Amino acid sequence: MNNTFLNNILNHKLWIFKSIIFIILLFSISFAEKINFSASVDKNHITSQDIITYSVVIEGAKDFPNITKPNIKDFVIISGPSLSSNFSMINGSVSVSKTFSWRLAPVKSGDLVIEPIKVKYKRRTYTTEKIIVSVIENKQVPNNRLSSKKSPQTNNTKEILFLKATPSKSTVYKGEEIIVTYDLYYLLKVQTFNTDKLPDAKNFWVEQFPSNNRPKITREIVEGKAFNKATLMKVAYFPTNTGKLQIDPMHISCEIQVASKRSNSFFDDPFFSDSFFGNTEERKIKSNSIDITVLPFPEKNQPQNFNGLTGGFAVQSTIDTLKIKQDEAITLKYKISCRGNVSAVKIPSPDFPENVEVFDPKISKKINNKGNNIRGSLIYEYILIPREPGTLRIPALEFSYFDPERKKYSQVVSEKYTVEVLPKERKYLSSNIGLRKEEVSLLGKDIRFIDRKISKWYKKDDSVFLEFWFLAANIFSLLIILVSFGYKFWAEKMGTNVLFARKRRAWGKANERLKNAEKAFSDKNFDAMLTNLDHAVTGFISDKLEMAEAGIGTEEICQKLSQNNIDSELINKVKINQQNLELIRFTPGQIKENEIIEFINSCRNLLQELNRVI
Amino acid sequence: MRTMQKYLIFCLIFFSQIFAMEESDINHFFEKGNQAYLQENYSEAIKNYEMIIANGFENGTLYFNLGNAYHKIGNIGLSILNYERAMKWRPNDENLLFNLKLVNLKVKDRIDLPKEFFLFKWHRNYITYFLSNQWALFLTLFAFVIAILSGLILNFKHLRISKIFKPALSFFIVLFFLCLYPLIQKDKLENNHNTGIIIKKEVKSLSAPQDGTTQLFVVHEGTKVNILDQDNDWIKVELIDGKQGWIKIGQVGII
Repeated sequence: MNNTFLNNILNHKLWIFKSIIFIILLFSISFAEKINFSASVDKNHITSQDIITYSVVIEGAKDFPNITKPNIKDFVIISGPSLSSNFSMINGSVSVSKTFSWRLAPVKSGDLVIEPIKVKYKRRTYTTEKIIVSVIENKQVPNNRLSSKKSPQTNNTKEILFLKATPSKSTVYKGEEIIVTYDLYYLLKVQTFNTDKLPDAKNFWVEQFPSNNRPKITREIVEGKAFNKATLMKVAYFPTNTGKLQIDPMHISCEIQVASKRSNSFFDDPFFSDSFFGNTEERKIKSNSIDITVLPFPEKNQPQNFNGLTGGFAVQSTIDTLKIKQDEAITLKYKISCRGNVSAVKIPSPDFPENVEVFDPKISKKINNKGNNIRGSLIYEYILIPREPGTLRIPALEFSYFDPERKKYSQVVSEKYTVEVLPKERKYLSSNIGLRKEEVSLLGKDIRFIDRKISKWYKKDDSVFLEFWFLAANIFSLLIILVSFGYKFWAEKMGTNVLFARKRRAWGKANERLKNAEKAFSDKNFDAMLTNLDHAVTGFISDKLEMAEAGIGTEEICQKLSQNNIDSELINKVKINQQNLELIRFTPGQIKENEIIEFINSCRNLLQELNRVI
Repeated sequence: MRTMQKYLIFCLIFFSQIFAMEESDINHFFEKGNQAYLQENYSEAIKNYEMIIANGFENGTLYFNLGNAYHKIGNIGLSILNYERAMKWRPNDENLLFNLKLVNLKVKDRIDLPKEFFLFKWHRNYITYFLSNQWALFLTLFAFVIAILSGLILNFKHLRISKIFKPALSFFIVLFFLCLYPLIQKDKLENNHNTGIIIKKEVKSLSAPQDGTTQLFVVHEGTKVNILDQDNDWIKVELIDGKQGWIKIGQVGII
């Protein structure tokens, strides 16, 4: 309707249109001039140490009015005003807001009032609400924000910093989980901390929860002082003994920041502090020790197969096949989920039947320490190889545990399996099933009759290598070979080495000559006889002593003999023999026959004697 | 003193000659055993046969007959053990092989081996064709011929027939080695007591040489085992399919 009206006007009178536009604009501007003005604080309940942020927001003003400093007697302004503005345009409508904020610290405790702020804009006065902040007195810190010349660094460490160990329970059953929380309480900023020594826990199994690098800080009032509290560590202890046990203190060292000497020291507040502004100091602290009473397992209703497992357990089993050939492997898995001391859990193996070969299980453990309790899972993986065909019954895995929460024993039973084992295709070793065709034909036949003829008897356990005939015969053959070689060697030497051959043949030659001499004697050929005798002796000696054979005299022979260390008596004999020979030669006919025979014999004796020594 | 020692030695030799059984005595026991077997008095036959073994004598016939006697009284383990022992002397004896096959039918743990590769079979037949002392006899003969031939070659080169000596020598050397190899192998087979036969009805094989350790498998009478190791009263055996375990020494008869 308005549109048709406008069109009519546009069509007729331009000035009317202009004036109407002007009116609309004026109207809209006067409408936009309406502003929002509010104030707020971030916290309403604080300690006297805390700092609050007081913010004042103006929305909708085009050009912002001046905001006066808030009139607050009970707070000091630490910083501010800081200004932030926000400009946004949605569907063509522009909205602008500005925020002024101050950081305020209380000067006293009690319900403090922040008076409203008034602002004048376009002849209108806007007022914020009155804000009430309740402040608790914090006695421990003598208001170091206001009069911080004195720093608390000289104070006893205990008063500004301590470590507290809090157990979840103080009376437990053996093996039950105790969670100890180690909290650091501090007034001053702690820069870093280091665990020097984990608690000595002799009779405990210890499992640590992962610690957070940036612990969450809460506030807690201890003996009227508001401490910052940071949870450094959570440790689970599982007692392994009964009786009164103690968990020793934990030792940590931390670097704390002490107040700086600067005069303007609002920033010494723990929340404000920065290593840049303050000094640090190392402190060593320890926690309290914890006494634990550990109860033994109750005797009542204790199952037979109980072996000390404590906590909560559940078992889940899987098998890869229920039909298998003989000698092939079955994989049987037990997944045991448990709550409690997972690391120390030992599950007994099921009572497998004898016709199956069982290998040691592969055990994998997973510990989950992310939650509030230690929990985890164990996987026992058994490999079974059935050795006989038929039905294989795998019994259930059964064990009992003590549930400390319900204070009673519980039983865990897994599923049972029945596996059908088929006979394998190729039999190597099996029970007496199935004979081959040719074997069947043998059935019912009797064995062949004994052998009654006597054969050769053997000595038991005699190796043929040790038998006499074998050794003797083979040694004999070996000797033949050795002798042949020896003879061949000798013959070769005789053939090539003249001196050697002469020496070797000397004795034979001498004997031959003696025989010739005797023959010549019987033929009455004295000359031949004498020549032979002479050659027999001198030839023998010269052959043996490697001398020239022809034309050697008695003197030379004797000299050579003495050179060869021959007995002088024997040399004399040789001399006499040669002299006798000469005598016979030069007096033929005067010598009687028997004397000649005697001489031949003496020659033979001499040769024998000589042969012995040379 | 000297004379005393001499007397002592003499006495020892004398008495040992008395106590040692003569071949005629052995034959007597053997015949008595055969007689008892004929009369179906098998335990008496076993007694007589065992008497011969106890005196340190043996041969294939004796073990064959003893195996028969044990078979007759139903002792499969000892029957197989004695047949296997007889194999040393008569590896190709038809009667022995037949009886052994028949007894093996009664063994609970049956072992069927894949067919032997023909070369291995030839090799085995070649080695076991003769007994070790037969091989030894051939070896000795060849050694003697080799010795004579080498003697002739070395020292009688000028002889007219010496031309054939060298080829003859090489021929006999080849024969010598063809006897030496099976002799060594056969002797090893005969004197290495590393196979045995289970002689108790059912034997539990344990994982360690100690009572009460884990039972690995059960073997029955008559099964052939390899003997790998010994530890006091225990021996480690291996079945043909490769399983190993410890069993008491008295439960196995060593071939």
